Amino acid sequence: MRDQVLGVGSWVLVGKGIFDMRKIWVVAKMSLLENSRKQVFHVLCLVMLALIASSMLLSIFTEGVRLKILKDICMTSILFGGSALAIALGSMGIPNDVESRTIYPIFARPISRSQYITGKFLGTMLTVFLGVLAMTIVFAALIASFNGGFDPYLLLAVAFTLLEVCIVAAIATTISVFASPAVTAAFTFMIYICGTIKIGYFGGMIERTADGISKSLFGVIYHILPNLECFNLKASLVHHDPVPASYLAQVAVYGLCYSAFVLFIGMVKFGRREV
Amino acid sequence: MAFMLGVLLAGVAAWAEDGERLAGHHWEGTEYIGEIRLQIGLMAIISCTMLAGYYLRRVLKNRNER
Repeated sequence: MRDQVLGVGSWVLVGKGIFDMRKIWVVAKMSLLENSRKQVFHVLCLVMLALIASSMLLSIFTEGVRLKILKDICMTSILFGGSALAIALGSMGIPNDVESRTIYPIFARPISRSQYITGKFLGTMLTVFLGVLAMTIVFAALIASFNGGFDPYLLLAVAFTLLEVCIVAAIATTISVFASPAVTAAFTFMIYICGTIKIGYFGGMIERTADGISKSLFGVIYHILPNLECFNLKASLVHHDPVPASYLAQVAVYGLCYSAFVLFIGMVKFGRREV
Repeated sequence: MAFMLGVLLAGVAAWAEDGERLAGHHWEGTEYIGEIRLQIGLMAIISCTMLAGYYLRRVLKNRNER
């Protein structure tokens, strides 16, 4: 038994099995190249960059208010742009590979289905990261032009936005395993909206619901939905309010665990699917 | 489907937001962090159950093969 445990430990540590990063990286690199050539990536990045750059036109407001509104608009653009990219790219990757039959030469190589899903997700996240990075650079330059320096709260807010986008990408990748791109995009968008208003709206809704069956149905949905609002640190960036480190650590662990869990479900589902 | 059923069965009073309960930043209240902890716990329980089920199935399969 001890030998078995040690064997599994070394198997994971040396990067073999489903965590073989070399194989995952091959799929991720291929996915990144494929995604970066897609029109939707270029269009969304350009629209969001134009929106962030146009925040310079907020000259009707006074100095302090202008900076706050600039941060508000730019963070919303980064979050919306990142999520839209994750939904668009995550929902198209696997169904397109199956439809164009490019998945067969991949599986002819010693790459497992779990490695393929993880690689696809990683490729989507790398593409989204590139888009968000471009938006963040423009945003940081705008803040510097108004403020005269770099705002350290910006990095924290963007990092947690990326964690939120990571959950959205994982959901899109998992749903795309068994649904068409259009259905995946619509369903992921619904989950994204519901996850954002989860505590603020659904929490109150459950408390006020009188019917028992209805209450339990809402309760199930409530606990399944991701808690996306907790990644929103826009208020901290705008007002420079400090956020407790313990809260940040727990939210970061939650983001990683939720993404891994959703991907795990996708792997199980994809493992049983006929391709 | 669960959401549609829930909406159909719920009373009209369900459609209202409780703003006062969530006044202030989300990192100051207990609502958000409590839900995060609960979901992490639920995910851990589900993952452990799935892994235990997988391990048991493998053990039973190996025993039957022998």
